[in-house]
Amino acid sequence: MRCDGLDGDLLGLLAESHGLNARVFSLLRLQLLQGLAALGPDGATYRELKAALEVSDGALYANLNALIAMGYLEAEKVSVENKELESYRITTAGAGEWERVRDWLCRFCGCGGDHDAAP
Amino acid sequence: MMLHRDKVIESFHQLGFSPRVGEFEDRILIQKCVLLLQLRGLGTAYPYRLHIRGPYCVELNREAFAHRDEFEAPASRGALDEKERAIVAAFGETFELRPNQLEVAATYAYFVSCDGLDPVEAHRRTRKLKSFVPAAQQALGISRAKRFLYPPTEEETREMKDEFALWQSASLRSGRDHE
Repeated sequence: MRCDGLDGDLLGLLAESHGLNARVFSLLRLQLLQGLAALGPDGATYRELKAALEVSDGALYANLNALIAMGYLEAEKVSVENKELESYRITTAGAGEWERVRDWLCRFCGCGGDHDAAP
Repeated sequence: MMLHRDKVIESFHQLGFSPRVGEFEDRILIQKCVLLLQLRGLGTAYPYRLHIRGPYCVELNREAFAHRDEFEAPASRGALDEKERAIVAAFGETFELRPNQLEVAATYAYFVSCDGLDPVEAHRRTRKLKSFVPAAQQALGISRAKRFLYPPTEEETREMKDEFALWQSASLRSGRDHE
């Protein structure tokens, strides 16, 4: 029997999760927030996001719009080699939410993952 | 850590490139020019990492905004030695200041020089990450990156000449037969 569990921390973490926006917890939304947070005000174009994430137009567009509606991303038109492209960057609110989610996930995986326990 | 902004600005001066820092397109050019020059041996130390957009240096972007006036009106600063000026000249002879070409070239170069991938795998990943760039431009970008950063050794050139000699003589013979 293992007695080194972190139940106290785990319960605290679970309670803390209520302060997070559950609507960002989908794989694609997390990938978008992570990718765009790293690029700050420069952002990335739609075509760059699509190529890197390898997702359908429908899924990408719907999730970008969802994050824009939450106030976490903003879109702008940019021009590259005379082509007008849609570019997306993270907002201050988006960067803040991503920080909270990332911090929480790191701690959650660190103390909640009893992966070496016998089945 | 010294990133050597002076070297970047003087390189831009030598290339006749006055980036408009507020323009997305010009920020692409800044990022890709500096990476390619740095990999060839310009004495800068910008820490590039692979991002969703390919190789990108957050610190360089920050510097461009913080020192916008210097970037937008680059001047000579005596920051480059003779070898570095030759690197910049070679860059100017190899590349056009076009975002697609430089994005592909810099991405390929990052995979080879920073990730240590073999050319075939670097080629495959570059084509995937820059799949929105037309195939002809992808080929051009990769071939120019190779010319600028990984020129064939004398031995490789000799081997290629030997390999192609038969084809070349057959082609010359065929040309003469049709005269």
